[in-house]
Amino acid sequence: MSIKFTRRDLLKTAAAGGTVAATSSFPFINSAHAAEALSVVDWGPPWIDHAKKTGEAWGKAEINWTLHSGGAASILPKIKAAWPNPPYDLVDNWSPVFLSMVREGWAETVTLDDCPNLANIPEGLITKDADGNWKNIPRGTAGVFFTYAPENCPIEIKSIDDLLDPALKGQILWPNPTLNTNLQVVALAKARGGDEYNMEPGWEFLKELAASGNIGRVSANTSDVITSLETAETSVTFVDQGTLSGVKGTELIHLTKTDPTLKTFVFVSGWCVLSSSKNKELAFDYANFTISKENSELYYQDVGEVPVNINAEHDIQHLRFSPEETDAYVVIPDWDHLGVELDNWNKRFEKDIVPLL
Amino acid sequence: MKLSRGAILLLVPGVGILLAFLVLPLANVVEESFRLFEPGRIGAAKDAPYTFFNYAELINVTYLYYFVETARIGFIASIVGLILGFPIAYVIARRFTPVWRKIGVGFLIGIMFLSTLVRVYALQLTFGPTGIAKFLTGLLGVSMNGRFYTELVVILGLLHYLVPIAAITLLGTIQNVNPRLTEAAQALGAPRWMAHFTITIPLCVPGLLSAFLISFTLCLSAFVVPMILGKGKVLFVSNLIYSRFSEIANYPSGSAISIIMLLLSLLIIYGVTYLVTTRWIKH
Amino acid sequence: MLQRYIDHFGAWAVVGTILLTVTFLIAPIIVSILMSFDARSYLGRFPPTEFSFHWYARFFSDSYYLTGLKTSLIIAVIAASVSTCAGVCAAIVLDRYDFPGKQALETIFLSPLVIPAVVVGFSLLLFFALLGVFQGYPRLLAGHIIITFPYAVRTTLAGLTGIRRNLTEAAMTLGANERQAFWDVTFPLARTGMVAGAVFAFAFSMDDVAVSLFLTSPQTYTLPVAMVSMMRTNFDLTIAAASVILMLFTIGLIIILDVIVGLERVIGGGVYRS
Repeated sequence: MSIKFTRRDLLKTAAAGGTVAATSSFPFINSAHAAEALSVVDWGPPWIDHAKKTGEAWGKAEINWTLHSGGAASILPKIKAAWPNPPYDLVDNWSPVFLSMVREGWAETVTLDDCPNLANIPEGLITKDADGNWKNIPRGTAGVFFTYAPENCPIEIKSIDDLLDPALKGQILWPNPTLNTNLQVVALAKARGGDEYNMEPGWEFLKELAASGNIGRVSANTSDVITSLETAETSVTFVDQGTLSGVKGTELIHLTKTDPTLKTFVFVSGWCVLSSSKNKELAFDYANFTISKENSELYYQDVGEVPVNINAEHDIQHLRFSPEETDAYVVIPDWDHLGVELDNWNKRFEKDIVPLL
Repeated sequence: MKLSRGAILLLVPGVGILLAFLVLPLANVVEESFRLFEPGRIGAAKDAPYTFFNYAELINVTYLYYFVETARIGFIASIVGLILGFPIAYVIARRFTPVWRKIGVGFLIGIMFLSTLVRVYALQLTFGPTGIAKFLTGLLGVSMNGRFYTELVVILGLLHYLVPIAAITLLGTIQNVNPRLTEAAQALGAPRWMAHFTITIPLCVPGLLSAFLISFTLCLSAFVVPMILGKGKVLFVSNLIYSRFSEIANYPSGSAISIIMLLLSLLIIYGVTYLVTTRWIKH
Repeated sequence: MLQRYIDHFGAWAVVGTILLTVTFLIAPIIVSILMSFDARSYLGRFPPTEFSFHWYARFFSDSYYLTGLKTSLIIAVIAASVSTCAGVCAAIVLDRYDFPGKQALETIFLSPLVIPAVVVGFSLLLFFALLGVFQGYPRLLAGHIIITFPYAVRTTLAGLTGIRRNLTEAAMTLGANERQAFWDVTFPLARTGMVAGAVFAFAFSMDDVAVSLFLTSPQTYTLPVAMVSMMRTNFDLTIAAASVILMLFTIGLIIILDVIVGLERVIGGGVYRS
């Protein structure tokens, strides 16, 4: 039996090795980065370009970058498999994933001593554990919402039902369930009286959408979104603010305050220091550096998310909501629930939706 | 000839490679496919109970869809690949001067050498929205993002490597067919096309079969072409398995799909070989 | 007369098909070459309006691609050599000898082709973890040998099957013994398939993505893996520049092959020359 256990453990480790290796980092070689190099996980452009810039400006240690592949939750199995020695110190992530990390006990507690700049960040945005300890370092806040390119889109989109308009044949870029933790189907469900706990109306809506032939492409990563919109292959999608910053040369209208059926899901993004890290001080120092007033403004310029540092200036009108607008358009979903359902939703998408496309 | 001791020795390296790098690793996958998966985990737990759930879940009409689609698109591409590859091989083998033969062969090898990634990227640029998609879909009267065009581009993606592979495979076969036979048939009054259909092509059946099998098997396990050119709408079984492994970390389910895929593929290939050998080789 | 028309029509239809096919094979390559010189900073429509070398500058300032290319070459050379040797041995036995289970053995030899490469990669990953091997090279080599092996078997077999066995038998009635007949008759004819097999093995090793994706380590990754990860994160024209560099490299390879082996012999002369 003991041999058996060893084998299964190896399997887990190996499995992590494969997926991690695909994004170019490796759990078994800890010595390689144990010294003075920081191992940081971030998204592709525009995040990584911004991160490399700040990394150089910070300059206190070398940084090895690893990119999220597909949805940001896909980092979790990699960490889990390699625990207690995951090859990362600091992970850039967003609301749904923070909660999972806290629950697993992977997120190091952060204090004002570790990151003095947290003083300028509204405490309500910080993820806390059951005892009220701070568990992450928020950097930005933004939304996931519907958007379209008026120059390429045959119709003006005024409500979610316009997605079914026959004129939109092939025009919609639909994210697969691993992107945005399937908020896109939650959005459809909400429009038809459901929510993340009652997804049937959403799936029914998506079936109609798939059968209508309006879905021109299913995106699996941010590069799909950027390329498809830039080349005018598609003109309507559901996407997060940061990814949109990567779209050059195509004007977009963001449908954040257009109609109560078109919801905006608001999330917080930022850093999480892994409790397994051997470079915690450096990790906190770098994270602290990136949320300074200047760097928050730079983050806004490069990535396009609303910086959470209260001193940082920004001008993103479509993500400024008055209290009334918040009631009408903004949704903060049960992130935890989304994470648990993802496996089922992914299979549901394969079974019910893909054959209709 | 009967199997001699020397012949058995010749088989050792091949069998060794297969055992070490394929059979044993696959045995592992079989074991994994019977493990119970809990959402949120990576793979199965180490003491996960054995279950048939991963297989039972796949007995679903919509999962059958993925297998049928993969085989259908692969079959179309393979047949078209043979039809397009054969004349090229024939012309290079029989009609070209040595210099042109060399250029022809060099061209085919060059196209075949191209990395699939270079290929799909080039096809994406050419047949995608930055290229001639608008023109071509206008010509065909279909939608650029419609099912038909997406499938067409996937098939073109497969053909771009199937054609040179089929042509190169057939080149050897055609060169080993005695041209005097067709000449004799023509001297006896048969038109050229009939001479080819009744003599050249039947003599090439082993080569054609081998080219078809290479093409079809390549299609069945195609991964990059549907991943990049399929727009997330045309998915092969490989893509399904990859998402089980990389996106949602459900290894037991991915293993179960893999095993079914493996068995089906072997069945198809073995069946085709058996049918053709009993049909053609015997008489 | 009618027959003549049919022959003429047939000939023109065949020529037309060939031209169309060749155009289809070349056009995308030309498009990506032109696009790689596009001066625009984003992925715009073809054709480019202005030209520049900036995508190439980006490619060469990125050691990521260059390291991948080097690894790919090393792996492809070793894997192709190993699988060709093993594959030729196996093919000769499969072609020349009769024994129970021959058909099954052939199917098993070709089976790595049928198994989705994704499965091969994943199963090898688990297996090597079991053995405690985590370095990139041994794992990649194993993966590449197993996926190139069937090509070596298949092409050699196709070459051998084309040889009518009575040629060997004729040689033997003329006084050669079995071994002589093999080296004098079978082997030269089989060389066609053999060298083609090696070429196939090399090309497919250079090409593989799905298996390598699982078996790379941060230090050891192949060029296609590098390109996929770039395509997934940043689908820009640096990849077009990388493609052009790869094409140049391919042309170079073919020239080398021609000088050393001779392209004629790669494909083989066959029994009957035109």
